[in-house]
Amino acid sequence: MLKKNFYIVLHSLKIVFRDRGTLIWLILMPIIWTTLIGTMSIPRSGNEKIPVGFLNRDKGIYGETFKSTLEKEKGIEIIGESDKANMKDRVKKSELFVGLLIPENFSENLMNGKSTTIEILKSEKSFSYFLDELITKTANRISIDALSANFTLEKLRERKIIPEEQKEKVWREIFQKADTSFEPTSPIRVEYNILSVEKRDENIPIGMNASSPGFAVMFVMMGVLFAAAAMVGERHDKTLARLLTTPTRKFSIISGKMFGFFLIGFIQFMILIIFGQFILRVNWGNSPIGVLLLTISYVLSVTGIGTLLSVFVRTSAQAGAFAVLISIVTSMFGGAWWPIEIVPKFMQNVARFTPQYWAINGFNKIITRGFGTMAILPNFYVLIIFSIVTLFFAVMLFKFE
Amino acid sequence: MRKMFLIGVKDVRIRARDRASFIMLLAMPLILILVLGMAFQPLWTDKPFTINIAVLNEDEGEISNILINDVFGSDELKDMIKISFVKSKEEIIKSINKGEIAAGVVIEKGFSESIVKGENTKINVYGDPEQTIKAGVVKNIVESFTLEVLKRRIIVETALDFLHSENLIQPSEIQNLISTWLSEIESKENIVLVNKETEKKDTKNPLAMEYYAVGMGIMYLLFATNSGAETIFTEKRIKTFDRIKVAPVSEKEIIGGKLFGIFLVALLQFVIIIIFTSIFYRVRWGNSIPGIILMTLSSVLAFSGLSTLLASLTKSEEQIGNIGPALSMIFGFLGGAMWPVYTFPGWMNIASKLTPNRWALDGFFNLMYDGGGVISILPYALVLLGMASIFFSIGVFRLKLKGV
Repeated sequence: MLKKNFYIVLHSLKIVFRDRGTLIWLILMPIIWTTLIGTMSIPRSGNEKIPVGFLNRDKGIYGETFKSTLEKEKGIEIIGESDKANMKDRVKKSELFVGLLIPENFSENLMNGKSTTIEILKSEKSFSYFLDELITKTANRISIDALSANFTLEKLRERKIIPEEQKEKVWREIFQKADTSFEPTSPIRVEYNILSVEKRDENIPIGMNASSPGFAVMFVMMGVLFAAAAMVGERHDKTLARLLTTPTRKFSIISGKMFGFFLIGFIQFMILIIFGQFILRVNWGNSPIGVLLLTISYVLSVTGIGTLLSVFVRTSAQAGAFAVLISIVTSMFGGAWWPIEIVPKFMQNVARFTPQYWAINGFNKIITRGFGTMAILPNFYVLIIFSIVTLFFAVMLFKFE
Repeated sequence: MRKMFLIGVKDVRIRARDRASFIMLLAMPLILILVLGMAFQPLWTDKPFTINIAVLNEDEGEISNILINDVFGSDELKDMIKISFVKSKEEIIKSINKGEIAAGVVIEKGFSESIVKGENTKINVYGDPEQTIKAGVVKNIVESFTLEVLKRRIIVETALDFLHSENLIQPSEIQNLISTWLSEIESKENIVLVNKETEKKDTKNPLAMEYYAVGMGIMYLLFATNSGAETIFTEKRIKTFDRIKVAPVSEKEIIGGKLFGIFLVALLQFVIIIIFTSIFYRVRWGNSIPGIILMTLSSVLAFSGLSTLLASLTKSEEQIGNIGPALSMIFGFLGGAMWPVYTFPGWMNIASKLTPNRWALDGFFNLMYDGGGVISILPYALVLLGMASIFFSIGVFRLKLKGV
């Protein structure tokens, strides 16, 4: 019996790997995709900087000071602009994330203790919430320096006569002095620690590390679903029914088929993990057993889904269409495409009904949190339950014709 | 001409009967628009999400209470930030590891006292590695708060230091000066203000749904045109092509008819998407009907051309069926269908401009967000038409060589 089983498995593998087109989807596309998406992120990964336009109309020197202070913030790149209309246009064209406009009398107002307003030019299409905070922080720091300079100068002049022409020089000196209070660190430090294995220094890092497991999970589902879709073709050509004429038990055929799908997904997953680990330098963690458990249970659950799919559709074209639809949409819900934290609560709840969520969540426990096998056991159990349910129905409803 | 038209219409009718292509070409983009719209809608607003944090306040002093009650509890933030109070750092780490909170804020004992005394101190913020965006927001809020706290202190310290270095004050006066000065600057407000609302005021609230209606609509154009191009191979395989050839139809008319069919299927799909999304997803495609028509036609033409080219470069249905969708996804991504292009690094922004998707998207956004009309979208339409003519000429030339 085992021998026959083995041949059926081998046959399924052959059908899939014979087709070069399928290989594009199994291996090439995930690799291209992960690399592409890994080079960017929402809003940005640590290495890539958010382009911020900067138009300085200030006649004094403090517009420049604002710029150099803002430049100390990690994750943004300041691009000098010379024309408001042009900068607006660049923001609209999404070449700049936002544009900052320092008003003409910025320095003058600072020196006179008057308030002055920096404009942020935004586009309809940008979500700049994260940037507002950074810019406000810089504005507050410059505020404090200027307030200090004004106050100190006032007190100074109560005690000593300062000639009008020296006033500005002294003011600058005090401003400078006040600003050094923040260097090298602010007197009230905010120590920021992300509780991950790797220490990253920025607050928005989701490059390769996040995209590699997520898209591997999506493309593995696609791969298994495609393989199952190919069985619809076998059913159509009656080659599946022909197997029944051979002295092979039904269950051997069904389990052989399913084991074939499983192997395809498993092999594909391993290739993607190896690629991620060695080429993209994604650290797949120090718990190979945990990764293996998650991989096996996840691939099992998608095998069930794939076999079920093949039962419900009639033509292989339909199967293919559903394979793409199901794998992309459930992966979006499950958090393969973007960090699940940014979506509304109800979508986070929906996510729990997808196997992707449990797989990605488990991989993150290993990859980013540095946990061991024990920590991913709950994810493993959920995935196993998923598998049992889907595989059970897949076997029950399996159709040869 | 009439024969060309008939071949095209015949293709549309065959497609319309096919349930799989109905799923791929209509259900799929409409579902994706819905999912993406729902997922990203909050990001486009001022309060993008709620953030669960835990606070360990060992200080219980005046200043830490300001952070908790007047900053996190302010009208501006109280809807966004949900605080739970914990008794130990271990609880914070445990909750973060479970992913229950995005960040934990630890204020150590003596924090307020240190600030009153003018000593250096710190606040610890711990972030969940799976929720770095939210944790980053919390970090920035806490940093802004520390600046606010430091304001009075730095003003007074700077003045004292400076006057002292000029020998204008005696050490004995310092205590008195501090308290008089502190009350003097009590009400000093920040003077560098930031106007965050500039561009959004005069225009309507943007909707993620709108962004993705355009993005996905355009991305799926290539799926539609590719599925049309596939039928060239299908007809060859099932020999219906040979049957058309024996009819009194010239080769030109056959190729023309097939291309017209590709164009028609995609046009139909896109028009349905426009109508469906504007009725059910409340997407506003802009006020310029001629503008929408021009953008639609030029986009559909560009993608029809691209598929023709693709058909001329591939050998079988399977090939185009595999390469086509992969290309659609990559082009869709590069063109900004999934994430706004400003999140791209420089080289990707350039690559983006080589795709018809980018020009189509920018053109439609011009109509939707900038109140553009036919004149303002002309550059986009012209680029698309230029691409269309290049794709078509190479594609048709090669198809003829292959003897379709």
